[in-house]
This record gives sequence, C-alpha cells and structure tokens, in this order.
Amino acid sequence: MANDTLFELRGITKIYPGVVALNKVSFDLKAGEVHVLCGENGAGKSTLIKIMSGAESPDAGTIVFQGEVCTFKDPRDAQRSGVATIYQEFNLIPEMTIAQNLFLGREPKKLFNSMIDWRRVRKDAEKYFDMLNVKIDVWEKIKNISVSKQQLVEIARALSLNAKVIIFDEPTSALTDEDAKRLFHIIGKLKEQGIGIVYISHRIEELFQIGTRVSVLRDGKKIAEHDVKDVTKQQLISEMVGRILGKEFNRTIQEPGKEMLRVEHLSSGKVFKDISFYVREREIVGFFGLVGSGRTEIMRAIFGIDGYESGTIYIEGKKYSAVKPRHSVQHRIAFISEDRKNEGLCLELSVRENMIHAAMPFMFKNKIIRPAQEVSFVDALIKELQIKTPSQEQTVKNLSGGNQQKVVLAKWFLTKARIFIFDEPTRGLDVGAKDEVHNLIDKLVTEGAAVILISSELPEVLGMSDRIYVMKEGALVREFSREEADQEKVIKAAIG
Amino acid sequence: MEKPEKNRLVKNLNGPFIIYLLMFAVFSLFINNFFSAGNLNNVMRQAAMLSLVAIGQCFVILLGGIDLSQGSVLGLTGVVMGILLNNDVSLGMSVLLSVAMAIALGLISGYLIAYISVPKFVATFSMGGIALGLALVISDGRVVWGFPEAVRWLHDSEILGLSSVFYVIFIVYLIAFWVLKFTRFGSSVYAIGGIQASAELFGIKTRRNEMLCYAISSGCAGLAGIMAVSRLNSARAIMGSGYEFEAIAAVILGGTRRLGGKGGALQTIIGVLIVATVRNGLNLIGVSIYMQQVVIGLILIIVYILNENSASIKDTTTKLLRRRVAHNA
Repeated sequence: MANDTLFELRGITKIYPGVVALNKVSFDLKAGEVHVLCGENGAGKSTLIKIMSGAESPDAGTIVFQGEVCTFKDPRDAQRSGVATIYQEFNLIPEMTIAQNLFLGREPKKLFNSMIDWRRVRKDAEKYFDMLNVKIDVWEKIKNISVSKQQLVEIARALSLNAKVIIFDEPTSALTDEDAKRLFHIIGKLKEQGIGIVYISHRIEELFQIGTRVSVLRDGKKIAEHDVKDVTKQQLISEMVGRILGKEFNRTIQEPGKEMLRVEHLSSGKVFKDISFYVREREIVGFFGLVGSGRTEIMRAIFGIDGYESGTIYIEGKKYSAVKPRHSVQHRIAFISEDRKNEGLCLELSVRENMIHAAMPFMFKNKIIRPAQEVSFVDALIKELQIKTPSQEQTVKNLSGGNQQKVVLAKWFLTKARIFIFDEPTRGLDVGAKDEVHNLIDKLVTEGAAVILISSELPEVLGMSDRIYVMKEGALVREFSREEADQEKVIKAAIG
Repeated sequence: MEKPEKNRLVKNLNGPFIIYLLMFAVFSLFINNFFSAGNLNNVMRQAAMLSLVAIGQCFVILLGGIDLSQGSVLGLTGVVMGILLNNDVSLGMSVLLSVAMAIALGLISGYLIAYISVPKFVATFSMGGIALGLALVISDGRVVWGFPEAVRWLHDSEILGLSSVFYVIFIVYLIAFWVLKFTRFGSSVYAIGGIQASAELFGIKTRRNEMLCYAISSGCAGLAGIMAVSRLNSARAIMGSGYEFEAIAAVILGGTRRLGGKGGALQTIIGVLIVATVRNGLNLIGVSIYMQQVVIGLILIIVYILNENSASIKDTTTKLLRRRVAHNA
C-alpha cells in the first residue's frame, strides 16, 4: 500500500486531575493499514482515541493530519476533516431509518434546494452499502435492525462522510463470530480503498487476523510498536503487563474466619454464567478482569440491584436472595459502587446527610431522627476516617475524591456492614488518597469484615487480596492464592 | 421508493385512526343528531382553533419538549390584536403585529430552554404566567370589543362553500407536513427528539432548532388567538386558558410520542378530530363542558399508559439488553 502517513501524533500528553493519562505518546497511521492499539484497562487507549477523534484536546504535543498540523475543536470538526470514530455505543437515532441516519443534517436536496430529495437519500444510501457489499433495506428503522447491522450503518456513514481515518473502539465486543468475520472482511476492503484504520481490541487473537502494525500502551506511555508479522502473542502480553510495580501495600494477613458469603452457580443470561465463589471473615477476595467481563454485574445481582436467572446465594450459611438493595443493607452487606458520584453519593447534600441515609433504620428507634445523636455519630466517623471537611454540613461535591470515597465508606460503617463489596474503590483518586482507602480496607478486614475487591488495577488486586478470582467474558476462569498470583499469570488468565 | 414510506405512514396512523373511526361510528349510531351536516360542521368549527394550537405543540413535542404557555399566549395575542384594532391600526397590521409578538414570546422561551438550560416546564409555564398577566394588565381584565366588520369576515367568509377557516388550517397543516417531511429542519426535529446528544454529533444545530420549535408553537397559538377574536368578535385575556392541555392531549392521542422523535402533522389532525368529536359527542348527550375536561384528561391518561408505557418498557429493555451484550460479549 501507499506509504503516505495520514495521521501523526507526536509527544501527546494528557493530564487529568491526579492522573497522567498519556505521557508523551507518539502514534502514526498510514493510508491502507490497520494500526492496532493494545494495552490493559487504563493504559491510555481510550484517551488516545478521544484525542484523535476530537473529543478531548491534548495538554501537550502536536497532531498532524494529512500533512497539516491541526487541532480538532470537537468530534464534529474531526468528522468533517475525515476522522470517523465508531464507538461501542453507536450514535444512531433508533426511530429514524438507516438512510435518514446516514445523511442526517446533510440530506441531498432538490427543486432549487427547497426540499429534501428522499429518492436520492435512498439511492445514495444504497450506494454506500453496495460499496460494503451489504444487502440491506435502507428504509428500515435503526431500532429494528441487529447490532451488527447498526455497526455497518456507522461504517457506511463514515464512508459517506468521506472518512480518511476510521477508528474502531472494540468493534467485535458485541458481535457474534460470524458477524465479526464479516466485519474483518469489510475492514480489509476499507484498507484496499486506502483508508487508515485505528483498531482497539481486548482480543489479542484479532490483531493477528487484521492488524498491520500494533502499538502497546501501558500506564499512559507507549511501550512498543511492532509489525504484526514480527510479534508473538506472548511478547505482546508481557509488554502490556510490564514489570511488577514496586508499590507496597500494607496488608495484615490473618487466618480467615467463617464463611460469610457463598455464591453457587449464579447465572444471568449472557452477562455472567455459572459463577461460584465464597468470601470469609478477615479476608479480601480480589476480582480481576477486563472492563465488561461481568465483575460489576455479579455484585449488582448479589446486592439486589439487578436480577439473576439461576443460582443460589448464601449469607453466613443461610440462603439469601436480595429483592431490593435495602434487603442487602439489612443483611449487612455494603456495596461501594464504581460510580461514586451518581450511585454512591448525593452530591448536593451534606456530609452528614450522606452518611446517615443508608443507616437510618439502624440508628434510630421508632423512625424518629434524633439530631443530637446523629451529629455525634457523624463526628465520630469524621474523626475515625480522618475525613477532611470543614464541617458536617459541607456539601459533598466540594470535597476531594478521596474524602468523598471516605464519606461513602462512613455510610456503610453506620449500617454495621459485615460484607463489603468494593467496586473500583480507588478509581480517579490520587496516590495519597489511594493509600488511605487501602489502609481503611485493611482495617476493616482486621476488624473481621469480609471484603470483595473489584479492580482494574492489577497491582491493587495483587497487593490487597488474599485470594484472586479472574473473570473473562462472563465466566470465572481462574482462582489464585496470594502466593501463586503474579501479574503475568493473572493477565494471561484474563486475556488469554 | 415513496411506497414503503407511505405504507409506514398508514401503519403509524392506524391505532388512533381506527379509534377515531370507531368513535365516529358509535356516536353516529347512538347519539341523535351526531351524524348530521350541521353537527359535523360544528365539530369542524370547534376543532379549528384546537388544530392550530395542536400543530404548534406537535413541533415542540416532537423534539421532546412541551409548551405550557400556549393558552395564555393565545389570549394575549387576541387582546393585543383587539387593542391595536381599537386604536385604529389596520386589520392586516394588527394581525401581523400580534402574531409577531406571539412568535417573539416563543423565541424567548425557546432561547431560555435551549441556550440557558432553563427546564422546559419552568420556562414555558412562567411564560404562560407572564403572558396571561400582561393580557390582564393591558385589557384591565375586561373584554375588548367593538371591532370593525372586517374582523368577523375573517371567520365568516366562505370560499367555494367552505369556511375560510378551513383553508387557513389546510394551508398551515400543509406547510407543517412539508416542513417536517421535506426540510433538514424538520428531519432534525425528529433527530433531536430521538436522541439529542447524537443529533448534536451529526452536526445538527440542536439549540437553534429547539428554539425555533418553541417559536412555531407560540406562533400557532397566536394564530389561534386571531381566529378566536374573529369568531367571538371580542377578545379576553383568559379566552385561551387551558388550551395547551387540550393541544397536548390531541397531539398525544393522535399518536405522537410524548418524549419526541415520532409522530407528525397527520397524526395531529387525527388527534384533534378525536378530541373535538369526544367533546361534541359529550355535548350532545348533555355532559357539561367542565365534565368534558375530566373525561379528556382520563382518556389521555389511559391512552398514555397503553401506548407510551408498552413502547417505553420495550425500548428500555432492548436498550438495556443491547448494553449488556455490548459490554459482555
């Protein structure tokens, strides 16, 4: 294929509060190639494509597109210049037809530009699907077609926008094997037409099928770049994982006590299947897996937020089935959601109100709030957890992320929870706050709690857990003890 | 190629249209005097103002909004027109100025909603309060009357045996149909109602178009105000009170989705006919006008539950499923 470079990113740096998402990353894309980006969760892949697609702008570095230095104002701007991005969540309007979605906002007109020429809309739409060699009724509504067809509509839209670069974000995650095969075929065709493709996937096998080059990101840095034909899976995995980080976790390892939670053969459709595990007093059980492997969904089912189809849950040996989260709260389970701002806290309310509301039924008799008692409870917790807040009445949204997380924890302390489910408890926190949260979790465990820790940060899982369960595509694939687990083995189980 | 689209159009209309036909048949059979030229003409006349208000509301509902100011804007437009007439402004000029004012009010609510993110309920509800208040102030709470003959002529004149009102409505609906179906603006209204965030990514000027829809809604209410003045040969601040309720009912009964993205002008006509026929039928069997309001409210709730809920339940489940699959496959 032609050797002209379409896209060149030099020294791209992007800093979010507390995290360096990208650290001087360079990346280039030639016409007619598929450049695969791989890396663990949080390695910086998404940030990089956000920058390429105009959704974010870099803090440092230059973007050269088709030989010109440019900055994309927003995704629309990038689209107009010829960079189309196909996200996992499609941008289509379900109530409108395929053809309408293709040309929305730029429908061809007739009669001196006075009205939309629907005949041409249809014809042009068909033309683009012909280019993809796909037979489809372009007058069908989006809501009536399958996910894989919707993806084709996105691709056709990219073509109709005259895209030079198409970025695919995990395109096969929602497809059946057959649909994936068709997609690869289409990507091959796009390549022939000289379109450059950036391809992100968790499935390493895929890149050997369609990739030309592959870049590995880790911790916001570009670790390596290879021609796909010169690299092995083994090599890529070890590059993605890197060496074990030197960070120390203060864990007081103790003999676990009695079993607190046992799950047997829990299944929910395609989301997770046949999950069995247990958690004991005084132990931390880590759950590792890629985003979307079903970790969070299992915990949501146990806690009673979403349902499950089959399987049994035991709490302290007794059968249990949560209908609503409040039943779980009564059974002294705590769920610390990954979405702290929406699910963990009421941001507009005060520290005191946030701490109190889950625990109301436990704290006060006869459902009457006793303000003095409330204040003293809250005060004690602020001291115990060392929450930095000017007062109990401070609005939670004004606290730092770490202190917000402590407020969430305090809430569950008040319910006297015994089983804690932490979903990404340190996401978005800076290093100091992470340490504090880790110490609090450790303290909980020494005081007898049973803890489930879901995390996408492997060092955290390795450093904190007594046992580790690895999930992949909705199934529990491995269990490791603290001693046998290491970074490479765990990653391999999660990806391999 | 137009064919499949037409088929779909018929399909979309089906439910409400069948309800209308059934209702028509039942009323004809069981209510004396219902099926007579005089009475049907009456239905049309009753439907006239509503049809104008409803088509305006339809634009707003299509993009996922709601306009609660229409009734008051209707009244204010009428009062303004009356006062202009009484101050010797020509008929054409008073019509023009008062409708322009209605459009301006809509632009203001639209601007607040689209650009300043004032919630649509708050913006249009307050605008309704303001319009009603202004109308009461400038008319001193009294009926404005004593207009030149020409005013009644607007309403009473006939062309080819049909009331001129009919032509006005026909033209307005034709334009509305055309705008929604054959312009990028119209297509964008559906898109915004479908998913606002996506529409923005498609390069649609969502804010501007949202604002325009409120202007259209308000303008249509203004037109209805003119029609009311010429019919009653007088104007009163409260003459449009509650009209938005009936308009919203008509739009939704016609099959336009309350949350937007689906529906249109034809559906709205059917909805208007349903509301007008229900009113007329209840009138004939001696149900008081106040009770009619209650009945329409009840019908609306029932239809909403049957219609919207089944659809939205289905929608959310498919969406959830899709998300699930997307996350986990």
